[in-house]
Amino acid sequence: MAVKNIVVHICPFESNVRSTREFLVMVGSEKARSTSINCEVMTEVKHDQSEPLVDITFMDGERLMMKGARLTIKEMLTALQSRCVAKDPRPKLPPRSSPTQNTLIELFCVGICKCL
Amino acid sequence: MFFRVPSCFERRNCNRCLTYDARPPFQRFLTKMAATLCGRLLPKQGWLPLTQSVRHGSKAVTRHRKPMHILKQKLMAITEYIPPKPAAPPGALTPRVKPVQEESGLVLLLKKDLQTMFQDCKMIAVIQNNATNSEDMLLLKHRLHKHGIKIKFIPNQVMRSYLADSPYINMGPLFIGQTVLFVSKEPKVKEMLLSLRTSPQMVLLGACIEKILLSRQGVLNYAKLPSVTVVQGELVSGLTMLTSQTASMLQRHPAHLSLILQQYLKQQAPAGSTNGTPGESPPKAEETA
Repeated sequence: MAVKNIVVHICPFESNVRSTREFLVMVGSEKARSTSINCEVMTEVKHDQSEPLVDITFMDGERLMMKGARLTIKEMLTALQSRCVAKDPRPKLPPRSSPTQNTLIELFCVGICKCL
Repeated sequence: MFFRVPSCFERRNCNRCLTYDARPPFQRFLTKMAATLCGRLLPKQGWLPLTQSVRHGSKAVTRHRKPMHILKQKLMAITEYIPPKPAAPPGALTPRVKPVQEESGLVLLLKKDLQTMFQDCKMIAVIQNNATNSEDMLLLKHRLHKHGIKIKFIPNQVMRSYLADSPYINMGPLFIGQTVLFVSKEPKVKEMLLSLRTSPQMVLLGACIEKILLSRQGVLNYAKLPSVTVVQGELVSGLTMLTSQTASMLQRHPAHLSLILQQYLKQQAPAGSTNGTPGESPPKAEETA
């Protein structure tokens, strides 16, 4: 619930956009969006040979900008997840708790990091 | 009689210690037997063995290496055998040649389809879908079908291998991740953009319209263009504007002169009608007209 909006700037004709595009797929997925309804995911497609950029604005006004040219998707997801957890620390819930209590973006990021 | 042996640790190499046993041999043997049998027990109790046999004047190691003469040492060092370096195994240095995989039948079929598609369709748009669910996809399909736009799902590998051999090689970088193709025979860009506006997960990356590769901005500009007839009319008017200006400039003086003459005649005609007969004025007016 800490993320306000996510803006992704990409130039699809460049060769260094793979991780940013994959990040966009992960963050824009149905699962992540359905629980964090307040969070808007916007994409800006440009053609000016600029570097791919992910601009995340949190509820408290803090901004996280990730330049995805040299980052892997795992790094980007762990960075986002660590910041979400730092902003919204929840006590360790018992294993039988329902998944909607945690932010699904965080859970998704953790799940994806484990899979990768 | 025999002497008491000191229980020192250097008993083995100590030449000073010795025993002389004057007992008869059988007794000696029994003592030795007892010593071997009770050898384990006595040390536990703290007793020293009765007899300890020590070698006198004899050593365990008798053959020592003779120190080499310095000249021989030098010679040996110089003539030391240096084994040749083992060559690298044959698989280490040569680059690993990947076996060229033959393309399967499905891939060949898909490539044929792609070829016909690129030949027939004037508009091929590449869209990235960020995990659209099936309902939205169905709705979008239905909406686009009304305008004759088809949705194609082709694996990226096949696409990239086809594009590498075709003149559309620059479209290659677009096909990363989840991509969908919108193809249509007529370039119906406006309708496509309207349909995409309703689904925010589908992101337009680029399009090949009438064999010209366009970015997203290019597609938007293309959509804003007017129809062909309007554009042709504008072009014709623009071209003829200059020539019409020249023609009007050339005809300005004769036109001006003719206007002046007409005005003069008009001025002359009322003056002539008051002086002459009224019947004369209409034929004169007819002549001048």
